[in-house]
Amino acid sequence: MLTFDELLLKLQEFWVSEGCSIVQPYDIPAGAGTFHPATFLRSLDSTPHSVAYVAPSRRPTDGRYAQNPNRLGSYYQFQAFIKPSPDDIQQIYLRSLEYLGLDLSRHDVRFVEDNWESPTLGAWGLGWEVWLDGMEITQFTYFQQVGGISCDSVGVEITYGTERLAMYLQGVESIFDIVWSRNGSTEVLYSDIHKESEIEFSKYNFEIADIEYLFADFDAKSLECKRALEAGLPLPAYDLCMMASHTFNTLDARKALSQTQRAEYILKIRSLTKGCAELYKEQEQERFKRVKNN
Amino acid sequence: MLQKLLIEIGVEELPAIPLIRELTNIQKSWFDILHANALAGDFEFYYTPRRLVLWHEAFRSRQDDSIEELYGAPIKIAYDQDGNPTAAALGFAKKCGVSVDELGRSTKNNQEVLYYKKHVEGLESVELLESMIDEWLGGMSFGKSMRWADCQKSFIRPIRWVNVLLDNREVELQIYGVKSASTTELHRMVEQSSVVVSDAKEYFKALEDGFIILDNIKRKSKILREFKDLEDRHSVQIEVDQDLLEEIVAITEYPTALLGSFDEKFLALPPEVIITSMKEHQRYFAVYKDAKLTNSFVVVSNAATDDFDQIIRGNERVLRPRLEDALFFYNNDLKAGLSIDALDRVGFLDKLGSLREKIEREREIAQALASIYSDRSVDAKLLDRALYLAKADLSSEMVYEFTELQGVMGSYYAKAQGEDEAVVLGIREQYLPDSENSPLPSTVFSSLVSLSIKLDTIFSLFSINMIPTGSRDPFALRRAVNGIVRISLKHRVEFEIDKTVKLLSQNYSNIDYEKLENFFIERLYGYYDVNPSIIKAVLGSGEREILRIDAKIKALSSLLLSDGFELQFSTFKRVANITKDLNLLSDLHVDEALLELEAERSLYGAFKDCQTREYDGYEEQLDALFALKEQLDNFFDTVMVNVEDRALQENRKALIGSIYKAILNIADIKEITL
Repeated sequence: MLTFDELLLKLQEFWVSEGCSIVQPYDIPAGAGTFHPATFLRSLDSTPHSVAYVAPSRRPTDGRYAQNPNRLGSYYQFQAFIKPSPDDIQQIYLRSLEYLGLDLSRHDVRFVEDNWESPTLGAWGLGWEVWLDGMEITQFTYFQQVGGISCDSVGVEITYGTERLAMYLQGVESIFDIVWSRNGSTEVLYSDIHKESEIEFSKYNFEIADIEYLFADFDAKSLECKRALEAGLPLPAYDLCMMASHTFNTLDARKALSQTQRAEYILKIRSLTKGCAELYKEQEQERFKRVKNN
Repeated sequence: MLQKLLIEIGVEELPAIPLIRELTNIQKSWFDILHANALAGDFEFYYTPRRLVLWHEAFRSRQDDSIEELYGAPIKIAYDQDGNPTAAALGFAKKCGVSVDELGRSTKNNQEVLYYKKHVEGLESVELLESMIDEWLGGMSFGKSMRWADCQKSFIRPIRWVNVLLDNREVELQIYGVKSASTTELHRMVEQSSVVVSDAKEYFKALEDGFIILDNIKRKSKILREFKDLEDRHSVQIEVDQDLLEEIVAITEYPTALLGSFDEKFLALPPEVIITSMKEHQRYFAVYKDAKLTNSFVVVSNAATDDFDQIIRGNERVLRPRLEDALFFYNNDLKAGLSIDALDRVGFLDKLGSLREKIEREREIAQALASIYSDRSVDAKLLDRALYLAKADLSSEMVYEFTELQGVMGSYYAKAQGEDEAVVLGIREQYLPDSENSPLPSTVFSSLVSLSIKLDTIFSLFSINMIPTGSRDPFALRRAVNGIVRISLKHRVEFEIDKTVKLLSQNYSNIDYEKLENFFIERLYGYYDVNPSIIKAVLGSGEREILRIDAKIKALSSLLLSDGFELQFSTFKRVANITKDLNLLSDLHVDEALLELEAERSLYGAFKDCQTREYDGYEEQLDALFALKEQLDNFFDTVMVNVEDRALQENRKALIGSIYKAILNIADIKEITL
């Protein structure tokens, strides 16, 4: 039986063999792997780009105090992003499932229509949810627009829900029963690693986080993001944008925003990400020179 | 020469709904392209989620030669005084591809002009196929389309292979950056799924062996056959949701129906919740035993395998957490009970305040309706209760998760807290009708609930001038008006689109009543599938009450369809014309003493008889009035209306005018165009 850490390792092995660079998880909280600059910003480059990485994802509103066997406020996506999209990308993806030990001749794998859109990232794409015997295990998206900018060379993003895959492969009914790793006869479970953090972060995000502080933090990060943009620094600006986005998610979990306010904040983040994307794209030539010439 | 032509466009999984919507157009567009290229002929179109296929049993290998007639400049311009060709003649000759000497002459618009009959040689179809296929694919419209890799063109999903076979010859072409090859793809689960095929026969055989059922009708019948089989074996009934079935047909290449089950404890949920959860999230069909929902479901797999164990188990596992969630929400909602407190904070529309405020307005309309229809024994207090609670489920956890269950959930929660049956049903049916073919509220009580909500939405949006234009109708006001018409007709609820509307909307400011009335009237034109001049004629009678408008439209339509109507109609048009300058609003008095001629007297007698009779509906009355044709014709033949004697003239006009007026009470027939 594949343990959770083996699953993550195997996915990395597989995508390395497909020519992806394994970059590490980014060190700023994000709601999904798409936020990683290796995907969000790099998808805007006109040069080819292939990466894969584990993407720790925080979704404060999805926290359930470790009480729900299928929901987490913080979990792990695994993401591959390849630009331009290879012609046989669907077959490559199916091979990755086989590499994890799934016998595809006994399963029903479907590509089910999914139009992906991220209002905060000003991004959308078309593709599918991949269903394994009715369970969604992957999102498969051809990026069409990122940060409000149409993608010239179109990349494809493949995002695995690793906990779901692990539950399936291990035949367990609760995320917390996933075997994370094995040391001789000792098994370390997902609950050993993350149950406490689920409980504490659920409590913090839903009950404790200081709303005034969060509003102030959002404003401070936004302001600093704009300063960085004015200084011509899209990468630091984008970091600040990610931080503001996480603060917004926490405000959301605290139910501190009315409907209209919520829409307004999404627009605020969108204008920041858009600013980052535009500046990043604008600097492409000079950046390319800086990176390549010594 | 005729050849077999097979065109297969291989794509990554096509989304079902946009594809289904476009199917007719896809076939029509190929038909048109064939015609435009002078290659018309029968063809079949097939699709699976991964391929679009055109199949011609007999395709013309080249276009027919054709004649093109070209006309040039008038002779007097084409040649100068000395008879030498001018630039105009030379240019025309060039266009025809011949020398000036070869040009002929013809007449056009009474002028002698240059003329050339050009013989156009037909092209080999093989040369046309690439641009034809390009045009065909480019003309498909799926709503959202996408680009992939560095291809500049867009399509609904990436195109991955193109296979064009003309008899046993591979046609080389390039479509959307994809080079054709005589290769097709079988089911993904088949080993060696790429195969080379050398002609159509081999192609069809390869697909059949390769777990691809190309024909959607065959896929559908396989599914239905297997449904039947499952029903027989397990003594159950499968509810075949047609939309879902069509979707499944479009997302499978090799469908197999499988029966799975879930824990019986979930049957504590309202069946609608289970069915919605299964259908919307998982595309499962609901299963009944003795008309009761059972803890089984049917899933249609696309797998090419003979071992479905893991697939069934997998699908059962997915359903569990979903139903577990639903049960959790349901129990929470039951504990919390129905409350509209939270709706203070939910906006209806910026300028229109919160949902809570909307509810208050709806309640006022409901009370007004209750007094208008006081003879329909609707309990005004209960009606108020129904509207007070109607929107409460919008803040329930279940409706947050399944928006489409609004109203339905509210009714379960209302029942659980012991509300009156009428209130429970009213909450359940408040949104009806919610589509063109949707059922209507089943009682007058529920109808008034639905009417109150719809009317408030219409009045509110009109009061801030958010009136639908063109295809934009985000709040579905048109559907709301259609709903009002249908409800009024079904439950025989009189509704005047001028007076009732005015009365009910007193508390809304800035309503442009002319626009509002016209908005209702426009919907009537859309609602009835009749000659529009009939509706115009009926409205021309000044009628604004929906039930009577309906009865009049029906009466007039059936009259129009009757034998000999055209003849009758010409007589009555004459009646309308003669009375044009008459003030029909005044009292028209016919003095019997002044009726001199037999034709006058017999017409008047027949008309009086008409007027004193009792009628069972407008149709009978119209029949009687139109039966005056004989007397009228006789009158027109023998009686002079515009005579010198004023009194006589007025009296005759009054007679004809009275007849017209009697008809005008029902409809203004001069509006009718046949």
